[in-house]
Amino acid sequence: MKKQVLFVDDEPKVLAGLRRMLRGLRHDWDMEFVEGGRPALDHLVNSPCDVVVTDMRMPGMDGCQLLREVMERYPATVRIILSGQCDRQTVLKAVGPTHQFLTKPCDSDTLKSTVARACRLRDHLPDQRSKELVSQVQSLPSDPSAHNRLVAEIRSSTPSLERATEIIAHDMAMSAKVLQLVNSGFFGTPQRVSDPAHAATLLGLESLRDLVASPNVFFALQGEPAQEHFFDALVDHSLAVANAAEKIARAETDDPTVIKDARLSGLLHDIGALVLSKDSPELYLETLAVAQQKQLLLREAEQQIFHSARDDIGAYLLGLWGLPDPVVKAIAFHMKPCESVEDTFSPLTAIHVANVFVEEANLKTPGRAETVDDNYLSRIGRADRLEHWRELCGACSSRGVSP
Amino acid sequence: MGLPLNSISALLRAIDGTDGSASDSNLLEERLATWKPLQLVVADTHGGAISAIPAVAPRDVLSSESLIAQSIKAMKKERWCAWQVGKSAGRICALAVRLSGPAGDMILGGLLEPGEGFSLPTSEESTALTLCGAMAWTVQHGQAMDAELRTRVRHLSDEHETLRMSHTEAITAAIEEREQRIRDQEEHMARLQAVMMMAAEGIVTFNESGLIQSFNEAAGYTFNYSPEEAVGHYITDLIPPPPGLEWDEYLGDYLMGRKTAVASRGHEVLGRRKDGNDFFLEVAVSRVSIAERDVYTGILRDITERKRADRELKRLHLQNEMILNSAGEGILGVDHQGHVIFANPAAARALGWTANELVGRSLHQTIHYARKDGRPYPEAECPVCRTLDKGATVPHAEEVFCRRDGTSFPVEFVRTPIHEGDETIGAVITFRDVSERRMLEAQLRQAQKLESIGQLAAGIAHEINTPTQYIGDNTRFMKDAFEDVNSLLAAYAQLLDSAEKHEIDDSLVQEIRSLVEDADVDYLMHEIPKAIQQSLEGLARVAKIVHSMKEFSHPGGEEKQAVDLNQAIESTATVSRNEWKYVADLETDFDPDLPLVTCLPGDFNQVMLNLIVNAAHAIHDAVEAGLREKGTITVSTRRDGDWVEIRVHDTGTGIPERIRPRLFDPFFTTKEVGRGTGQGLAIAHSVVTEKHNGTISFETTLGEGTTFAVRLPVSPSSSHPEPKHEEASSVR
Repeated sequence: MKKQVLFVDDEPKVLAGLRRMLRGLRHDWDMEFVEGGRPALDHLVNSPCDVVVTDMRMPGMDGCQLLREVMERYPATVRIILSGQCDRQTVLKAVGPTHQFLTKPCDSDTLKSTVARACRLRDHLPDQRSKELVSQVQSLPSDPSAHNRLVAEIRSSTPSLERATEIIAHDMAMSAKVLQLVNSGFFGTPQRVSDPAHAATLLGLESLRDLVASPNVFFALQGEPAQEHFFDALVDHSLAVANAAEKIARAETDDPTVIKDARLSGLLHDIGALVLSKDSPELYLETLAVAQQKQLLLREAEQQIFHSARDDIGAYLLGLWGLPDPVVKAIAFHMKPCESVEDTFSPLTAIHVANVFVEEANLKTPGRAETVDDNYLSRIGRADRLEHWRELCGACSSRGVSP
Repeated sequence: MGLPLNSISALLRAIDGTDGSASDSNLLEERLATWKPLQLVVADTHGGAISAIPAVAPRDVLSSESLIAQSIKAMKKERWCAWQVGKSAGRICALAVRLSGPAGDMILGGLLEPGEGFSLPTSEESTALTLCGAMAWTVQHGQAMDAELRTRVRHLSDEHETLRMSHTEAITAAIEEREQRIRDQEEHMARLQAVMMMAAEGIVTFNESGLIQSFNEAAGYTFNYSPEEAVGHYITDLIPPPPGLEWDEYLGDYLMGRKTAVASRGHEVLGRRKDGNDFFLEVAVSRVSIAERDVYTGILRDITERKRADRELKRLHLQNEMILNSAGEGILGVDHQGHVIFANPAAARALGWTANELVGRSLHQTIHYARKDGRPYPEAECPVCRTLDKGATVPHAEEVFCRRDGTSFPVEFVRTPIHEGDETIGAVITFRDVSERRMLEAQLRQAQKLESIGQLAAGIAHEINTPTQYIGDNTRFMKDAFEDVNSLLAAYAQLLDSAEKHEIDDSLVQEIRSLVEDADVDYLMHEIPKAIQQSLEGLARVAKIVHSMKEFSHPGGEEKQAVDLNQAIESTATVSRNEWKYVADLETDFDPDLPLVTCLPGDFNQVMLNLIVNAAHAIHDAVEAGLREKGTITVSTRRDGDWVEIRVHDTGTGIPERIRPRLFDPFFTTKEVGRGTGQGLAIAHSVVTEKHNGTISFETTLGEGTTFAVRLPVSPSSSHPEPKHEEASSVR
């Protein structure tokens, strides 16, 4: 089925240029070009679309307002800004409703691939309700203690960027957010970064201060004790998997990108669980109980109850947020590596194995434990490395309890 | 109550009747004890009682000593004097007491050696009393009367009797003459007394034992004593001796100032008022011998006020010195010839001299010999010297002063002439090194310029990014289209080849048809020219923006040059387009015949930018408030004689009445953070009025909009003040 893509700009020549440039994709996409925010909303009433690409500054309704409206009315829509304006305050307002930020002049390949990727991801997550759920996520809750420490650091009289980035790099939600902002060009040229500390450093203290000050960007988890308990366990588990995945990657490659991607994939591999539990905390606790009762894999229980599992949801979210592809793929397939098309060692390999190791070390995992997919390891020719990795990870104490 | 001589004689005899033995003395004591003192009687030189006062001593303490002491005290209080017997009797005072006893009233005379200084000239007429007193004294002391005294008393008494009997007439004449002399003396004394009493200076006389004998009104004011009170006090009550000082030292050194001062000029001591408070006193004490006895006269002056004034003067002096020394501004004094007479440390520091070195030098030749550009500065043109001639104040002027090392610095100075009568005798120059302030002002202007450039940069980037985006897209499209067209052309070439060989292959035609279809040639033929056209437009747009940027950010410098204002405004509007285009349309109404205006292009552009951005903000606010969807900014230019007028009109909110008066004030701003420094209008005002001798004014109506009018002289030479346009706001 052809994807519906809507382009919005106040300059007709920009729209004309886009129309001509994208003409080659007319067989894949149905494209509409609309001048201005309000006409765009009017247009959407009769022809809903999958992706909206809009200019930021426009007379009347600007891009940010338009995307907010779109998020409210058509939550499943992928929302992209294509703007020549990098005014800090405006961008900050757009951080919530915008999935990705492209800067003018944007070369045609980047534009095409960004939109194409968003379309592809949507196919990966078939459930409409889940698409809406993920697409509406503006940001995720942080570990309250990490959040407090970051706020204190940023507001201190002598804030240290180094300490601030350190705090961010150990928190799932804040890491994901800063990576979104840097990998997509919210505050300047987009860069492919998978180290959250590096991303936070690129943003700088001033932007971090703005993000801390925006209530909807960085915020601390507030919930029932049971939810907090689950959350704490999730944080510990994620950090343990991140550490283990990094170790495994180091044993297999010297490529710093792969090592960093592996660590990040480990840190964020369960971010989908965070999305689900944030959306419906009680239902999610019930899911854990069901998994335990019926001895299901957690993803099976989630699939039953939410119609989508954490791996698909997490991958979709991070894909929407423009995080590097290897990370998104690793998270998407870490519980079903055989379904991936890759046949070499990748971050996927690292977190697939690391996740199993960390769960093994922790007997309190609700439901049935994940197991190593030997076929997959054989396919990529690393079956013989498993014991070595186990030794490596045994040496690292798993800090936490897997949910 | 008289005291007849014969009764005194009777008393004398009665007393004399006793033999003066101890037992008799006791008898007298006894008798005396039965007497009740009624009155003390003091007789005058003629034997007549001057006054009588009740005895004050109670019965039981009526011992002879206490009686005498009481009497003396009473007499002192009433300013009475006792009499001295003649020299032969030594200094013995006599007094009589009238006592009332069982045997009737009795006059009891007394004599005493005066520890106190009683002084009245002796007189024969006091004889009777003396006799009486002598006897009483003898009786009181319970001793036999001194034989010689007794003899003398008898003798005198007899002599008196004889004299009285034989020379009554002569005595009467003598008495009369003497009385006349006394009256003359008294008159003289009264005059002296009056002079003394009325003297402005405090005058006190005291005897060698320090007892005050006279005291004038002025002294009374000084010490808070009435003259009457003071007499009978001692000088030591008024001028307490410093501790440990003997009487002689006190009198000689302390009061008379033998060691410390020239006596006649007085010296400083500490006086004590009646209430016990001490104060500074200047005294000049001198000694006069009268009738072989020393009398001291002190001239006293309360110098409390003078001392206070002295202290105050000293304090003021110190304070002034401190102010001069600590003043941050340089302060110089010059005499009428322009020579430095004083310089404070700040002035010396700023000029690189010491204060002492500056004094005496010609001010002009030392610090003011060169102009800003280094040319010599003739003294005749020097505002410093001109002021000296006219004697007028230079309220606020700017000049360049030279340091010792030859470097110079800009100053702001105030010159105040010093007048003495009608004559100008010099001037005080207060100056301040304003190089730092100049620098700050320049920095502020620079900061505002940078800020607006920074603000513009984001907008300009957007302005350029937009055409860049569609030029890129169009080019990419043409690249793809060219590939399609290329393969189509290749096919056509084949077709041509076949046609030339007259063997057209159907499959080739089919292929070409398919290619034409794939490439959507109709679409390409329709779109490619448009893509080219729009790309060229985009390029023109970019070129224009870049050109305008160059125009706007004119380095210019400080040299004025002839500028086409219309073009300058056009450029400014272009570079600021992103600031206004979302809220307003900008229309221009330019005078095509506008002359070139000699101005600083960079500064002029800055003013236009500030006005246009302000207009955009005002319209933005109006749009936010729902007054209108989109506004209009109209910029117009007109020639008006030697002047040009630029008007920037907006359909914004208008300026609230309360802020109108402060609109051009530096550091006044209504802009929230993030909307600029808020110094735009202050800088526009400074640029227009100070750098171009122009005017800037505004008209505003709430809810409808505002028009700013900038008027500039076409050339600086024609920049005489404008008569008809006030530099003030007017309200439509």
